[in-house]
Amino acid sequence: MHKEDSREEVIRRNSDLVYRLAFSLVKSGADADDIYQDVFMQYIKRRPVFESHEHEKAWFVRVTVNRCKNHWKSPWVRRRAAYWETAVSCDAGQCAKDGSVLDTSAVAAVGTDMETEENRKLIETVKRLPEKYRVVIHLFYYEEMSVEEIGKATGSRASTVRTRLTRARRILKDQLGGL
Amino acid sequence: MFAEKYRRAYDEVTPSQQVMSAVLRQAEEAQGAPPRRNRGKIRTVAAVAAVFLAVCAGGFAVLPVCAAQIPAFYRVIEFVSPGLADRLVPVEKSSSSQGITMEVEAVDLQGDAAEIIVSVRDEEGSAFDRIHGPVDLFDSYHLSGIGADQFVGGCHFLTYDEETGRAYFKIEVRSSGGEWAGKLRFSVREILCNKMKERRTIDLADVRESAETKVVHLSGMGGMMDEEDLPASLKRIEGTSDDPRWQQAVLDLMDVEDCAAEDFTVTGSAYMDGVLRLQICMGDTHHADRHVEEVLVDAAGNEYCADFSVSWQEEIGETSYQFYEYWFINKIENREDLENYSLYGIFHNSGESVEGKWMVTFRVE
Repeated sequence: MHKEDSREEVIRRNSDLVYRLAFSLVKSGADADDIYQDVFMQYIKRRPVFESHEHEKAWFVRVTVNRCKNHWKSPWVRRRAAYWETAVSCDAGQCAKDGSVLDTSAVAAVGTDMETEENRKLIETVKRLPEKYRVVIHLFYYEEMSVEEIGKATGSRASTVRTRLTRARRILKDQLGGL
Repeated sequence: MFAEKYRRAYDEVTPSQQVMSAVLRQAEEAQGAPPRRNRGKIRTVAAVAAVFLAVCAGGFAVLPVCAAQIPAFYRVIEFVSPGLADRLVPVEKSSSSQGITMEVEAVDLQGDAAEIIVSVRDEEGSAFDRIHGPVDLFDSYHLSGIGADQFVGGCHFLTYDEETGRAYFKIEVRSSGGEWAGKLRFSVREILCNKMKERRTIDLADVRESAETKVVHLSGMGGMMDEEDLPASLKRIEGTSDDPRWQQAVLDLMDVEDCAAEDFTVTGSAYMDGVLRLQICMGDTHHADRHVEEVLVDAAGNEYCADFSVSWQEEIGETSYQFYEYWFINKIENREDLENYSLYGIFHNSGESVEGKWMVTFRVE
C-alpha cells in the first residue's frame, strides 16, 4: 500500500512509463509531450487512490492508451494520416488501416539522443506497425506485462492480444529478421 | 534478442525535463504547496529574449524594452508544448472581421516542416462575446503562397487562454523539399464558437434485449478492433457493381424526424450477441461540429472506449443528419450484468457558426 505517496512521487515513478508508452503509440515527440501532460493532468484532477503499485501502473497504462485512442480519432490526426497515406510510399501490411505511417521527423528528433543507428531503426520499424500492434509490442516487450494484463489494460480479450502479438511479430520478423 | 534490443532502444526515450517540470509544478499547485522555481519558464524567457535580441540586432539591443514586449502566447504555448515555445519566432499580424480578430502569432521552421501559431479573439470594442472557450476553424482555413509540391498538414486547437481571451491553434505545414522563403497567406472563412463540452450519463436501464435493424450506407467506420474480428452480425455488407457503397445493418429505433437538428439525440441502445450498441444522432453537422466520446465503466471503475463505430447520414429535405453507432464488443457477458456497468459520454457541441473573411500575409525565411 502506498496511499501516502505524494503526487510528485507517483508522477516521478510513472513518468518514464507514460512517456515511453505514449511515444511508442503516437507519431511525434510533440504529440507524446501533449499526451504525457494530459495523462498527468487527469491524475492530478481525479486523485485516484491506488491499492498497490501494480494497480497504479495499470491505471497509468490504461489512461495513456485511452488518451492515445482519442488522439488517433481526432480529425487532425486523421487528416495528417490521410496525407501521409498518399504522400509516402507504404509497403503492404506495414501501414495501419487508417493509413497512418511514421512521421520520420519524430524519430529524427529523438534520434539525436540515441546511442546507435540500430536503436533508431528498431524504433522506426516498430512505429510503422498499426497502433493496435504497437500497444501490445510495447507493453509485452518493454513493460513485460503478461497477455492477460495487457488485455485488461487495453480492454481487449487475452486471445485478441495473443493474436496481435503473433501478427506483429510476423511483420517485425520480415522487417528485422530473427525475432 | 528482440526484447533486449527493444528495451535498450526505449531506455533512451525519456520525457524532457521541461515537460516533467511543468507537470510537477501543476501537481504542487494542486496540493497547495508554493510553486517551485520555474526553470522551464526561465529558459523560455531567455530564449525569447535571445530571439528579440536577434530581431533588435540593428543597433537597437535595448533589453528592457524587448523583455517588456514578450508576447502573451509564449506563456500559453510554453504550458501546452514547452519545446515548441522555445523555438517560436514572433509574427504578430492580425485581421478582423465580424467582430473577431485572427492573429498569426508566431512561426517555427524546422527543416521541411513549419508550425504556425494562430489565435482568435473578440475584436476590441466588439459588442459580441463569442470567443470565451474552445473554438473550431471547421476546416475553413487555407494557406496559400506555398509551392505546388507542398502540403498543408492540418490545424489543431491548442487551448483557450482566459487571461487574454484568445483561443490558440497550431497549423502544421510540411514541404516536400521546397525552400521556406517568401510570403505565406493564411485565411479563414468560418469560425465555430461557443463550443461546449458536457458529460452526460446514458441510462443502461433503457438498453433493449432485441431490436429491429435497418441497412444504411456507411459514411465512415473505424476502431481499435480488426474488422475481420467483428461478430458476424456486425460485418459490413459489400456494395454491388451498381452501388459500390458499403452498407451496414444498424439499430432501427427512432425515426430521423424525431431527432434534434441542433443537438444530440440518443436514438437507442441494445445488447445483442454480446455487443452493447449505442446509437446517437449528432443532428445537422453541416454547419456545426458535434461529436461524442463514450466510455463504459465496470464495477471496479475500469473505463473502456468503444471497440468500433460506424457512421452514416440520413436526410430530411436539404438537412442532413449524422448518426453514429458505437459498439462495445464482448465487454459484458450477458444482459443481466448490465447493472454492474455504467455508461457516460463526453458530448462536444459547437454552438454558433460565424462566417467572415480573415486573412493575414506574413513572411517565412
